Amino acid sequence: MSLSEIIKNLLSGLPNTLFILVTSFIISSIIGLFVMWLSLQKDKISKAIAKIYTGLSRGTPPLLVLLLSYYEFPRLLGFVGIDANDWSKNFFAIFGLAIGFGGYMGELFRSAYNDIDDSQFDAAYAVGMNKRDVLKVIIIPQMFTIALPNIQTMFLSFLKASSLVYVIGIADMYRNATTLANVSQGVYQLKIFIVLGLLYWVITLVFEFLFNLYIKKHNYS
Amino acid sequence: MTLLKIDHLKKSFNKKTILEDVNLEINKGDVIAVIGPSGSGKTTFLKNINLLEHPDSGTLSIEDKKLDLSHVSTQDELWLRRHIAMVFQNYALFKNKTAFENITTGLIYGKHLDKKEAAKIAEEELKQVNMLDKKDFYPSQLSGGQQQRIGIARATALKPSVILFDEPTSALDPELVGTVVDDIDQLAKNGQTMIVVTHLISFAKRIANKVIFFEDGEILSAGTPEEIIDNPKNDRIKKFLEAVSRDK
Amino acid sequence: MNVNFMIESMPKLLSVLPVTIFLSVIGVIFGLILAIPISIVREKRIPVLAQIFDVYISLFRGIPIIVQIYIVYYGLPRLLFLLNQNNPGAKGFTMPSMIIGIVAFALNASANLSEAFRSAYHGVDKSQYDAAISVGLTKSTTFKKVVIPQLIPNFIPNFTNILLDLIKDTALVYNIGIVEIMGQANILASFSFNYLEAYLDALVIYLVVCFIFASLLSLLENKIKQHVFA
Repeated sequence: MSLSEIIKNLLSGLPNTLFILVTSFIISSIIGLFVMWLSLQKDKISKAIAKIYTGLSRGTPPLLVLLLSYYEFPRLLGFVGIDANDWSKNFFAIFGLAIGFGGYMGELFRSAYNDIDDSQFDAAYAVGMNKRDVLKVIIIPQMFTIALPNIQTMFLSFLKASSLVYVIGIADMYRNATTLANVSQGVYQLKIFIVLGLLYWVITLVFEFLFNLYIKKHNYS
Repeated sequence: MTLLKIDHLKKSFNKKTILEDVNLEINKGDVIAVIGPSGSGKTTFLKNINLLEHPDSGTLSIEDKKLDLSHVSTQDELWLRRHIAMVFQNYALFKNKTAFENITTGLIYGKHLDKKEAAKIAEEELKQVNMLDKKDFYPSQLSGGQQQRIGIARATALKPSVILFDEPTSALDPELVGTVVDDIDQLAKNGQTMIVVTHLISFAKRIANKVIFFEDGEILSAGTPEEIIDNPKNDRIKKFLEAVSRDK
Repeated sequence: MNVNFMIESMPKLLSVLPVTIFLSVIGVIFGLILAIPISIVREKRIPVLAQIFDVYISLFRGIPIIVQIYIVYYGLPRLLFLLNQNNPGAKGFTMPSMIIGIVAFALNASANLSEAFRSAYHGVDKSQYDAAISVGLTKSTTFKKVVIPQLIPNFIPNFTNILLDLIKDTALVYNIGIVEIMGQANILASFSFNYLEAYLDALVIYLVVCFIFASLLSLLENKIKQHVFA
């Protein structure tokens, strides 16, 4: 089996990999922002929920989250009267990844928020801005800029974790590789995985490059 | 004519009293210098005036409005901050905004002016402090002195009744202090009512018509610069002034 | 939900817990041993070697660990076979999966740990080094007595994350035939399809193990901080 055939076969799974990657990352970010908001509230219950969720998120293997998501979440939905039997596997993969990493995203945003100098808040309030505007115009943009390098790292973690959706049987790059490996023998198996590894590596480098460009542009604030 | 009157301002934190019944009356055009040892509560005092921190009790009267400081509505809080502006020790320019935008942000979101009006005022203010050529620079690209002058412009742009200065020169390199001091002096000469917390005794003497000595959360003594600085009657003030001048 | 099943399966799952812990701890230790020379080479920028290691780290951090595991699984026996071709008595290589697991984890950990080292090292103020040198300490004493003690508390949080990641990644090695927690859970569940119960049991074990390691390391970090900075 020629090299270019292998690459073509594997790359056919790339669109799905990217789709799952981007969607789950965005949803996980939203979850993370919510968790951060909870952890900043004054009441103990919100803080506790945030802490517990973050602990669960950081102590659970992503593989396990995906398995639970695919096999058990439909049952849970069933209790509420929702029939999820025909929902696409991608949905459960995205849901699993988003929830599994939400704690990490929350920590990321929370630490970026805490890095902002108190006097930024003071100065914004001092010119007569209300709370919503202070957050929208001054704080959140700064939080985002501070968080960018970590967002880059997390994004790449999502890329690597996306390979785990094989366990739900989704056709992405990794799944294509294992399928191919199962019908090949001997040295080809090694070759397939090395090619797969290099493909992931190249994609990682591309994203790293793009992120670095963006970070450089945004570095005056 | 009394512009600002503060009565019985009290503030505690974690069972410690930080401000112990502070009373102050300011007339239009007054420049009040607040001096005193570190930790005496000077900064907290300023922050309690524009409600960045919330007093336990006290009243504040400004421009025909009297506020009970223990229960200020959000509306009144926002109103107050449009009339009392602040300049910070570490400049506190919005890091994600250009010099120009630092000034317009307060005008647009605080005073609800439209973009054109805000832009016009911002340009004038920048001209006043000779920083118009740096208007599209970000704070990280400016020196401390330049940042502080923009900080002052940000405050004056609001056309406030009173400006509070929290140790405006403490974070500056010595050679930059002069320009900022001159700017503040010019404001004073133009009749701006100000309360200035400062370490620089000579600066206090130069611009202020009234000096307050703050210690342990209260005003120990108040009077003219001659009374407080040149001929201090109180031992503690004497000691403080000696310690400060030894550094020169 | 079959709670009985959950209770009965717990001890059976716990019986393979040592495998999980062994794999991740040995992996991280070997990774640490590898990471130190790698970090030194990269810091000193030794020509050629530093570039090679830069690529090495980029590879191990850019490829999903499941793929790394398979590459080692297929590649290591082959590599050893190639290296041993001169040895006439060499049989074909069937390696115990455990060794493959440890190698894969060690290599992966070495890349991450090396980066963690670098960041902890740069987190120590350079002026500390300068001050030590200027009062007459030799370079090696400075490192031993001034830089490294300050570096370690910086290093521990990242080390904790890497170790916890390894523990969670052990969930993948049943693919190459090692029976650890996930593998055992799948086996137990397959008899009467009690997947939810088995997975929940596994989840609890992972959470507890991660929590224990994280707490211990945090205590260690505080103790060292006290000892160094107190």
